[in-house]
Amino acid sequence: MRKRGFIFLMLLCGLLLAACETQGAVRGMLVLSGEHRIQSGESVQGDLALLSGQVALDEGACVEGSVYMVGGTFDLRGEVDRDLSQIGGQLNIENSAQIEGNVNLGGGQVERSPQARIGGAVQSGVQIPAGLEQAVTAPRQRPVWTAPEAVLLAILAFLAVRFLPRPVERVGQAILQHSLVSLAMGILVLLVGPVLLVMMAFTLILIPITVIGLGVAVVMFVYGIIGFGAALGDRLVRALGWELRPTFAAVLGTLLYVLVVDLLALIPTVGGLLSLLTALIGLGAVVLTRLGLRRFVPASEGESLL
Amino acid sequence: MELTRYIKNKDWPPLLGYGLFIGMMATGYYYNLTFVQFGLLDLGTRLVGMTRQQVSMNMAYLALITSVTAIVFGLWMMRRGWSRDFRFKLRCAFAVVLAQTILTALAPVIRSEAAFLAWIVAASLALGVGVPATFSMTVDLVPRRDRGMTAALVTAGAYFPAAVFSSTWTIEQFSAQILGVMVAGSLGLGVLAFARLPWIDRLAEQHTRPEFARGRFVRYDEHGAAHISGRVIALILLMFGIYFIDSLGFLRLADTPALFEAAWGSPNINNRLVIGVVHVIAALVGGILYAALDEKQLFLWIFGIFALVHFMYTFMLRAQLGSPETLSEPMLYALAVSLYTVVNFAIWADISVPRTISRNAAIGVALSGWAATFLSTALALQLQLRGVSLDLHLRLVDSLAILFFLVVLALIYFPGGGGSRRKSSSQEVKG
Repeated sequence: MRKRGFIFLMLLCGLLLAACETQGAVRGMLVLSGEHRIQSGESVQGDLALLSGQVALDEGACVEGSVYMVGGTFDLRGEVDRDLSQIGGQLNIENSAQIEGNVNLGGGQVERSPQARIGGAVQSGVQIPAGLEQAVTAPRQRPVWTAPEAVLLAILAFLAVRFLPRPVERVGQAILQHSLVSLAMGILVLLVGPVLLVMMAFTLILIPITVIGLGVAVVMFVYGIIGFGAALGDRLVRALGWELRPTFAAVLGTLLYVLVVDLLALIPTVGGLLSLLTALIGLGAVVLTRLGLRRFVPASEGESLL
Repeated sequence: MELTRYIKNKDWPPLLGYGLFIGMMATGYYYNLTFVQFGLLDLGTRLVGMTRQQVSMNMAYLALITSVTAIVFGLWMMRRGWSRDFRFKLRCAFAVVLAQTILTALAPVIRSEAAFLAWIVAASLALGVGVPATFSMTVDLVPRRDRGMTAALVTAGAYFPAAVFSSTWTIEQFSAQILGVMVAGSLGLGVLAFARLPWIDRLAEQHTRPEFARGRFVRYDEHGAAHISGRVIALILLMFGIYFIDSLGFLRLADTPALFEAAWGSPNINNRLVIGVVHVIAALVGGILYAALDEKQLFLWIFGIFALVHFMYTFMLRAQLGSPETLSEPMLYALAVSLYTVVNFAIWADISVPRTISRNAAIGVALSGWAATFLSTALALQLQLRGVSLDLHLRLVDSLAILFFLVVLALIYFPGGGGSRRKSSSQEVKG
C-alpha cells in the first residue's frame, strides 16, 4: 500500500511537471547569465525573469507578460505587455520602449528616456499595503474580525469531525499527548517549509508545485487549528459532564481556541509568541500524523524491548 | 524523562552525572569546532608560514591518525573489559584533557613545520584515546530515554559559544578562550578520577541498570541475550555521508571570504547571535525528535536540509544575487548541523551495551566523523587545486546530499532491504 502510494505520488509529480510544458501552465524566460538579444519580430511568451546577465529587447520585439528584474542589465527598446518590476540591476528604458502596465522600482539603477511610453503608473520604493499596515499596527481591532474567522473555522471543524472523525481525533491526540514533539516538528516545518517553497518558485518549472505546496500549507495550518479545537472541545465537554455530540464539541472547542488565541495575541510580544506556538503545535501534529491518516506513536515507545 | 524522576526523588548523583557528561562533551566539541578546526589553520598559515593546502593536508593527517587511534583503543578497551569500568574511563578522560591543555598552551608558540607536525601527531593520539573513553561514558551517565535531550544540550552548549564568541579566528584568541576552561576541567576530572567519592561509586554502577545498559536499538531475545541488527552498518554509513557532505561543503564555504565573513566570521555580533540561537533551537528540536521519530526520518530531514541549503548557495552564486548579508543559508546550515550533531552524540550508546560501547563509539565516530573529515578535506583540496569553481564544488556537494536523501527515502518506503528492523541479520553480543 505504501509502495503504491509512493509510486502514485511520484507519478502525480511527474504529471504536474509535464503539464507545465505541454499545457503552458508556466511559460516564460529565465535568464541566469550570458548575453541575450530578442530581435524585432520575436517575442517572449509569458514573463521574463532576469536574475543576472544581459538582455536586450529590440524595437519591434515583445514580452507577452511581465518583466521581473532581480539583477543583470536590461536594455528595453521594445514592448512589455504587462508590468515591469525591478529590485536590482541596471534598467535602461530607451526612446522606443513601451510598457503597457506599471513600472515598480524597488531597487537598482534606472535610466529612463522621457520619450518612452508607460501605460500605467511608475511606483518606487517599498510600500506596505495599507490593510496590512493597519493589521500590524492596530492589534486592538483584531476581535472585530475574529468573529467571522471563528465562525468559519467552527463550521470547518463541524464538517471535519462529521466526515473525518478519526483523522481529526488522531491530530487532537497528538496535540494533547505529544505537544512537545508536535511543537518541535512544527518549528522544523516552519524553518524549512517557506524556504523550500520560495526556492522551488525560483526554478520557475516548479511553480505549480509551489502553488500546491502553499495550498497544502494553508490546509495543514487550518487542520491543526481544527484538531486543537476538537481536542479542546472533547476535553471540555468531558470535564463539564455535558452530553454533546463530537461535532458540536468540536465547534465549541474551536470557538474557544480562536477566542483564547486572539486574546493572547493582544498581550504585547509574549502574546504573539504564544499564539505562534499553539499554531506550530497544531501544524506539527498534522505532520506527525500524516494529515491524521495514522496515529502518532513516538519511536521510543514503539521500540519494545523483548 | 528519567531526569524529572531523579529531581523529584532528590537523587543527586545521577543529576551530577548529567552535568558531568554535558559539560565534558560540550567543552570537548567546542574545542574541536574552534581550536582544532580553525585555530590550527590560523596557526599553520599565519604563524608557521605554511600554505593553506599544506595545513589542510596536516589536518587530514590529524583526522586519519585520530581515527586509527580511536578504533585501536576502543577495541582494546572492549577486550580488556575497560568499557564497563567508569573509573578507568574517567582517568583516560583526565589524561586526555591534561595532554590537550598542555598542547593548547604550547600551540601559539609553534613556529616551524616540524613542530607543527609533531603537535598534530600528539593531538591526534590524545583525541583518538578521548573518543572511545568519553563517548562510552554515555552508558554510565545518561539513561536511554534522556539521550536525545542530553545530546541536544551538549550540541547547544558547544555551538552557541562557538558561533557567538568566535569573532576573531586566531589561535591566540581560541587558546585564551579555552585554556581557562581546560585547566579547570583537568583539575576537576583529576579529583573525580582519583579521589574516593561515594557518588562516583554510584555513577560507576549505573551501567548495570536496565535504563542505562540497554541501548534503544538493541534487541533482547527470550534468553536475555542482546542483539544488534545490521542497521548499525547502515547508521555508520549514513553518519559518514552526513559528515562528508558537511565537511566538503563547509571547507569551501569557509574558504570563501565573502560568504564566511557574512555569517560565521561576521564582525557583526547580531549575525553570529542569530546563527547561535538557531543552533540552540535546532539542537532542542533535534533532541525531542530523536526520541520521537524513527532515526531514518531524522536522517531524511538532515539530508534534505543539506540539499536545500547547498542548492540555495549555488543558486545565489549562479544568479549573482550576491547579497552576502543574507543569513538564510547559514541559518539553514546551522539547523542541519545541529540536528545531526544531536544524533551523533546519542546514537552510539543506543546501538550498544556497556561491553561494546567503546568499540561501537570508536568505530562510529572514527569512521563517520574523522574519516569523513579526512576524505572530504583531501577531496576539497584536490578540487581546489584542479581549479573547480565554488559553484561547481557546491553543486557536487548538493548532488551528494540529494543522493543520500533519495537513498534514505528509499529505505523508508522500501524497508525490505537493509532497513528492516526485525528481518535483518543480527549478531549476538553479551551485555
